[in-house]
Amino acid sequence: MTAVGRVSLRENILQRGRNRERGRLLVFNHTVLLLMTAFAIAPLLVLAFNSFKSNSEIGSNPLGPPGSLILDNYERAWDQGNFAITMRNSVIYVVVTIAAELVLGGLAAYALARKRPPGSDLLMLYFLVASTIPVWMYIVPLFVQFRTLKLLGTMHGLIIIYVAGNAPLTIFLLRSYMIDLPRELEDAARVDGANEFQVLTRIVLPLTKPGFLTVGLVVGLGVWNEFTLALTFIHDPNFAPVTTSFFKFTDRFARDWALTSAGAVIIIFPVMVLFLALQRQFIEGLAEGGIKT
Amino acid sequence: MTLRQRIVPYLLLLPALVLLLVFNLLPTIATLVESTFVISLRSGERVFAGFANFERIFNDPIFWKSLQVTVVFSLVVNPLQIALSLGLSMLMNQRLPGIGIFRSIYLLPVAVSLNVTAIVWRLLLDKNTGMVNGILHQLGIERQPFLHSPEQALWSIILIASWIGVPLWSLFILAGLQNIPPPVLEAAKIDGANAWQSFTRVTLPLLRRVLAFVLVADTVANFLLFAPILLTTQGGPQLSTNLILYETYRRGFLYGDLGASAAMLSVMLLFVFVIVGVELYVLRGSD
Repeated sequence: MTAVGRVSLRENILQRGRNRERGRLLVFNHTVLLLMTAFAIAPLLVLAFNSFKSNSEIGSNPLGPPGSLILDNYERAWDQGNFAITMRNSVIYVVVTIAAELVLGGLAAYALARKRPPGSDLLMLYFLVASTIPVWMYIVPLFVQFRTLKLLGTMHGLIIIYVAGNAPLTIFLLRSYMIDLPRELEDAARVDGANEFQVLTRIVLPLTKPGFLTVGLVVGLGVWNEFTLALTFIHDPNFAPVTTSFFKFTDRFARDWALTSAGAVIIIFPVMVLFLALQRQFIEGLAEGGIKT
Repeated sequence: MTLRQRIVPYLLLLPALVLLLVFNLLPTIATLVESTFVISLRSGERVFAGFANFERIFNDPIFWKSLQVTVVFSLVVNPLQIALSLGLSMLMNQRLPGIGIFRSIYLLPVAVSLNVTAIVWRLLLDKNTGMVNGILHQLGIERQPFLHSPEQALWSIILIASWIGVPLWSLFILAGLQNIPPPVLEAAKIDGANAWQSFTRVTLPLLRRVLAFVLVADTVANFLLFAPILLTTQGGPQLSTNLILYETYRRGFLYGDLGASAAMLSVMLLFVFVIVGVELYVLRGSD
């Protein structure tokens, strides 16, 4: 009884001290948080503001919110940037790359996580090293190869580069999700007469969905934002993604900031909405699989 | 094991392996091979030249200057990004009022493409009309040239790279922090650990693998930084931002000296192997 009383008194004194400390800490924390979020969002806000102004208004008021909303910039940017076509192209690049990547990577990761054929360790080492080597390391030979294989300037050619470039990291991450799955579930399904394909599609895939979502988002963000490869391998504007068409667009309208800002917002907006919507699952997915403490 | 059971795993691996072999491994080897060839001035043909390309780049002050810029850049940008990512992730992981909104905004730059980032920051850092100079001017500080000055350009690139880099690496560290069970930290608190002690003795050791991954991935990514240079300074002014990967592009694509470019890439590949080797070593140590 007395012991309990003493503990709660001590707790009480400690608690009061902690509350004061916590109050000071809260102010400090929020100051840092405000500064950092300002640093993150200020450039985006200025961009959004300027996309609604005329160029003369940007001249007199380069930072603040627009006096009135001018939607004209968006209309012009959409036409001049050829966004109707390039936006469609980018969606194709992203969707097809993610689909191919997840099928290819999923099969390979399953083999490595579950079957462990001889040579698995060597393959993992290769994937790890390869995942750090960017395409720029071998772009010239790749270019020559693409000319020989008649893949140069084609959409499926560029998709092949994206799938191959992302494959090592995809396999690496997906494998670490699958290796954690309890084997008993798969064995139980086999006892019930499921074949290998059914085990993969009915048991393993549904359980590793968060992993596939996270990897899909990593790959998708990368492909949507990719720029240098598309610039090198695609020359026909009808096959170009939004990033290269935006690059050429800013070259042509270097002085027209209202137009450039509207173009940038058109590119950023869709991914930003998607990223905000999926952020929580994304971090949880990373925490569950690839990133182990 | 039946033959069929033995073959199935390789069949599953086959599509990925073929793709990687043809479009990843072979071209990488081709780059290494290319580094030993030169284009003959007399006949215009490719001839084997042994280590001539390497000799050429090792005697070239521009290559050394570029390496020096890369080293200075790496020594500043990596510790900066990792320290900021770690500190801010810990802040974002706390239960504070409105933390969800802060976290979402803070992570937003990750979704922005690098070329949009580079173009936007080029506008923000403009000497006369840029936002940054606008704020400095308000504070009574003189307008700065930023990307147009040999002294400030590299620092401006560090700023641009970190705008995406810090939130990007925070994503991974946040994921790692979420894996630390709260009871572990509470236990440390009950045992009388102060904030610093619980950070160094509990949080850091539990984050070791994540931090090792982030450290190496960040180092390699910054070592191979390219697009922001192409879109802002193109290596200038006075080669002050001529990072090594941009130098290989300049040499190979702008001057058409593919042999020297391939030799530089081979040297860089060696660097990457060393970095990944260190990663494997560190990861093994913590298992």
